[in-house]
Amino acid sequence: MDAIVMNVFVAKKFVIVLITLLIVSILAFLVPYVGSDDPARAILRARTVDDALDPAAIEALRAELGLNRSLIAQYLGWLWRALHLDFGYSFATRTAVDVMFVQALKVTSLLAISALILAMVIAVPLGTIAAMRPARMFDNAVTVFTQTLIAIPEYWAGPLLVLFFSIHMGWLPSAGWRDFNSTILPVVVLSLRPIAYFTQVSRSAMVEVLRAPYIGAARGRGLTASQTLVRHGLRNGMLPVITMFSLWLTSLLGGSVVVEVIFGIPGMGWLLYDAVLNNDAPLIQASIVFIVALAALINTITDIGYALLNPSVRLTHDKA
Amino acid sequence: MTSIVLNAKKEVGAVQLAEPILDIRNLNVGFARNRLIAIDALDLTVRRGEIVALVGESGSGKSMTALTAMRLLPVGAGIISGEVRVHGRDLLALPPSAMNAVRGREIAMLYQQPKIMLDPTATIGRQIAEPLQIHRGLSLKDAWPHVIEALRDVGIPEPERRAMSYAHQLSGGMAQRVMIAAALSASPDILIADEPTTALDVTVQAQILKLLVRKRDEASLAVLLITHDLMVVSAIADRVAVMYAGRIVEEGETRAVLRSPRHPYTQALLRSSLLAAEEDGRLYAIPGSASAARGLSCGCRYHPRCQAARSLGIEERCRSQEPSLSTASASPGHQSRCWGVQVTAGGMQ
Amino acid sequence: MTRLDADLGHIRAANPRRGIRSWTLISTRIFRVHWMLLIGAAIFSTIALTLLVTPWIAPFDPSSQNILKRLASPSAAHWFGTDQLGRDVFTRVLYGGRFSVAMAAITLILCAVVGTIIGAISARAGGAADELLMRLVDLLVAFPDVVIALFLISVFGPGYGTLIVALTITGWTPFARLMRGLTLEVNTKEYIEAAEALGCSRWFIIFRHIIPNTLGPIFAISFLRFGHKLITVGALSFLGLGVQPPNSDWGAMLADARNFMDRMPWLMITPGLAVFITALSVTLIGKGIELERNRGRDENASSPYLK
Repeated sequence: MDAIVMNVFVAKKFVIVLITLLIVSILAFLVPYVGSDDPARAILRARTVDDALDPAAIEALRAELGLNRSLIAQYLGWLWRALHLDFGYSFATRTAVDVMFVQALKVTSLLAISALILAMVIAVPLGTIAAMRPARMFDNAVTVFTQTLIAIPEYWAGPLLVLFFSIHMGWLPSAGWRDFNSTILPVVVLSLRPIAYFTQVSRSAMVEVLRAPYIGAARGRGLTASQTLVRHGLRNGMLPVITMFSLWLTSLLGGSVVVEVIFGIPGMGWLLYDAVLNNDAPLIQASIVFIVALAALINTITDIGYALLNPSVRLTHDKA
Repeated sequence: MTSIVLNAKKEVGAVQLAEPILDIRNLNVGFARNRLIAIDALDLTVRRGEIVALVGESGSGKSMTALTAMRLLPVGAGIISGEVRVHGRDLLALPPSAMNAVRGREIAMLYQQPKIMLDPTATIGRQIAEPLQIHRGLSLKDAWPHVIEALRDVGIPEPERRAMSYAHQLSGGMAQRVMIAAALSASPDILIADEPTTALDVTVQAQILKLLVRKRDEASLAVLLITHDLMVVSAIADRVAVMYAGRIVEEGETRAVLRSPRHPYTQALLRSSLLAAEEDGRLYAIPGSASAARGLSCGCRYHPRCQAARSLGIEERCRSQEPSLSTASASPGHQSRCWGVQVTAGGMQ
Repeated sequence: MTRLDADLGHIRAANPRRGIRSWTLISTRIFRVHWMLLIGAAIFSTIALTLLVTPWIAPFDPSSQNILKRLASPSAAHWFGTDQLGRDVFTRVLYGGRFSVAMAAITLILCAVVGTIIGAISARAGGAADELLMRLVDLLVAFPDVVIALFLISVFGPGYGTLIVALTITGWTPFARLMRGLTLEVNTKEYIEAAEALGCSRWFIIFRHIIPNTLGPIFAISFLRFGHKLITVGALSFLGLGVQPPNSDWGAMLADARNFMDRMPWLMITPGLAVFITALSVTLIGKGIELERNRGRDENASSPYLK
């Protein structure tokens, strides 16, 4: 019975992801046609400094790119190549898009995952301790602390930290993405808001969990308060934090534009920022498809991880 | 169901001689915020191999008694005075850390809703293994055979597979069996069962009660059974204590108390239960509510609802003075806390 | 509520004069308000008032340059110093704040309206429409809002209109999710069933039951999102895509200041501090409302099982 429910659940999810990807691919394909310029002109504009474009060159490029075919034929061709991860070449740099992408994704995923893990390490203990005595001193202090972190703009915290640690003290590099030291400041800046949100989530989850009847029953079997916390409290309290983690991961993999621009990090955020500023259609198209696909992938992994941690999820999830 | 289980009951005479395992003396528990008294000068003894039922309606303080013995009182409730002795040692005088070694090892508990008492994210096997890991120092691996054996013992089919399942995959009855296995896995001396069958189907209730009786017999377990259901009491309890508004108003051997209840509250309780309904086909409702006893500083707790006080014309005494527990009938240990009983008994002398 | 009524009864009995009674009522109400809400409201109303009267109180003209006094440290004349063009930073912070806060407020209101309507529709309609809308929300959440805004700006060109549209498109999702959840929850409440069973009209139910029951959380999240909006508006300006020169706001000032960071850190501290304090004050208001609604619940939420 459980297995059937699970299979239906997985199949339904899979179909939804496929449909989403299809719709998104159409939207992505249409990107170059949305602007006021036609794609051939846009490419030439990105490649040359001269504003006056050669009509012959435009025609040649149109023919070369197959822009004279019908839109549907063009879409199918584009889709076929996209399925083979071939998104063409960047208008601006003339590098293969997928290569640029993989490089940027590596950088960004390292940045995002480090920041989120740092946030977890700080937030879960904070939230748990706050949850043990709600509405008391420590809990109130944690609430004010999280509100403060949420209110700090990254484009202020980043330069301030650079000012102190790089310019004033000379301890850490002010920009770049080379060695461990250069990653510290961006990771810290990027983790500020996740720390706040993870703390809030783990606090409220733990308040509920610690009052749960099974915690009392565990004490009744002779577990000490700390044993109960570790064996039964954290495991249950972690579930919403995991959901939050995956939400943040999906949104951070699209790049944290501000942080990457401030610290000059060659990640997805910077790539997208450049792509949009240069109207670099292949890059924009690829990034849209990639980000949605990645988001779907992360969601799936989260669902599996969630199901591993919370075995009743298959049943409750379907009802919700 | 009643007759089958009744046969499992032990000879009363043998029980009387056994040593007391749980001995509650002059226990007072109250709530700090509204200064309500939850348990008022409670004395209760459970001997080895004995099932003692604590009966009363909700709010009478019977669950608070269980939580006090476990020392897991809700926030806001506090122990004012008294002793809870297990093997002669006062649990209330122990430092909190020492209580961890007592819970699960000497005193264990069952609950009304077993399914929400199991951690939804941990296998039931792990939870049954916990008392063994903590009190016996076994590793999970070493404890596992005991877990399987315990599951088989409480009547779970395919214990090897079931040990790996989770609370949501169990029925209520199964979950209560698992809770019994977990409670008894470190072989405690006393089991406190707080309404263990209330949330279960009637057919399952009988099975769980039989299981409790069997475990009592095998391990000479002392059982404090908390319930509001007189059917359950008559089925398995050796002795019964009736609680009203934090006070024990009547206690004695089950047969004596249920056959010839002396306190008007016990009588009313019996008339309102299904045991009595079989005779005249109608259910009786006790007039008034237990909240009338709140804020009473003197007198019998039950007098605002008591009809006997009125018919006997001793209302004034019931209002001003609280009766003590005194012998109620020829049955050994049968006592009640009622002026009416004392007046009529005195008149007979 | 009952406790307040009881208090009132007591006051009325003791003091039959209406004027004093209502004054006492007001003060009780104020002191029962959560301290975070009080502090947040005090700070934010001060900021809002200052920004409102800026044209009359600003000591200088925001764009009057004075090359002789460029990059000056704070002084009696220039409280926050001057920037690279000799403009008074204090004046520019005030004027920049007018833009930042106004922009954040406008987009916030749009997001709240659009989001709650979509959320309510999604919950009431259910089925395929619900599924479609929620997938759209998932999709939008997967993209960083700055990237979506960037994209729209690249297509439609920078400008206030684009900025507002972009921030609304990226910002309505939390409201929709919240409203959907609240509507579903309220829908299952017994009193809604009772109202339906009594034959109350759908609009009566929506106005009498659903809206009052969802207003509190929506208010709380609005203030919480206000801070976020303020920061996002600043981020776009910081990236050069928000307000265009010669106007400027806090984000744009920070972008300018980065170039003079080592020589003149003051330039960077004040506009950032302005964003921070404003954002903090509104999030405190939001959090205060939330805590106020849960008052009594958290105080008693401490676990009995950890002694």
